Amino acid sequence: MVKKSVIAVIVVAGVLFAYFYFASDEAKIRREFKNISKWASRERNDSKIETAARVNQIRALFDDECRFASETYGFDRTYTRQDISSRTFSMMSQNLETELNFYDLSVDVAGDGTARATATADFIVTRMNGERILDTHEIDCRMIKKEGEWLFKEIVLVQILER
Amino acid sequence: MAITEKIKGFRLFKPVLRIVVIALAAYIVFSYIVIPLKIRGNSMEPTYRDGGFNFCLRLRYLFSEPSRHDVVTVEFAGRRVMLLKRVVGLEGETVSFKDGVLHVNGKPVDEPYVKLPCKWNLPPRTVEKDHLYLVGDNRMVPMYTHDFGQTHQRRIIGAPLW
Repeated sequence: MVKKSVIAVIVVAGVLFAYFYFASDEAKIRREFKNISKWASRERNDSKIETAARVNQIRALFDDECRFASETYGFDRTYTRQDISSRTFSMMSQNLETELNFYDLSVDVAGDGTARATATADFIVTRMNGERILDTHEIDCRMIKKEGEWLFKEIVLVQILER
Repeated sequence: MAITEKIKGFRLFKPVLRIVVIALAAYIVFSYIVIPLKIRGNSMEPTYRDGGFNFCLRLRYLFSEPSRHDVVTVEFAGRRVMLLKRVVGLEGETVSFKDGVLHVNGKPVDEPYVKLPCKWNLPPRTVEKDHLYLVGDNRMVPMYTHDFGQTHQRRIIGAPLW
């Protein structure tokens, strides 16, 4: 009986190892979007320590420098990991709740260690006064593979409606 | 004996086949013909209210082009999330707002669906080729908070069913 249990544990561990080790680049990128969505979502009872821990995990998904651009809002800047984490923390902790979801994610991996991902990012923020703000954008991301990890290098908000 | 078994087998297979056909038909209908929509946000109020339910009729513009005053659905990266907006300007036209009144090619346009007061002022702009100018019905909100403008026609994927 013990022998069978040990074999079962080894098989499960082997399957998990194979899943994480041999997962395709596309699967890895999809998992990163899932993780960002999970970590960028904050519930009203979450402490600042929990928020800081989540932001730390988000920070690791970005390259040393990442470009953010939006024609709609007229900005085009490059931020360091430190900038990204401090801004994300400030945004998350200054609001009662935050929720980020990605839909219709499409990933195109190039052979040179770069990838392009497009998705609809749906961001819902509940302010301290209870006001709910919905912000939806199509995003076009450039990613780069470093030491086996896919990192965000560029995030552009696609302009759907041009005034 | 063999025939009896075959009939028995078909009888067992029939309900399974029926379920498969119904599921397949439902998938095709609700993915490609009428996509269920939950309306979120107030940019189309009072025509479409926050929390309302509708369907996006994908075939609406199969044989015709969107025209002024039509409400259309606009896709982002895909069809899971869509924008609901009203067509106010067609390609080549000049669109502007003067004290809340829509002007197309310099002439005021009557918009009976706009029930809420509007004070927008927007200088004239020309709608590019293959584009449509879209605005929500709720113009009571400040102009800078409202998503509107021209978009390429390929992003129009249908219209609400009602």
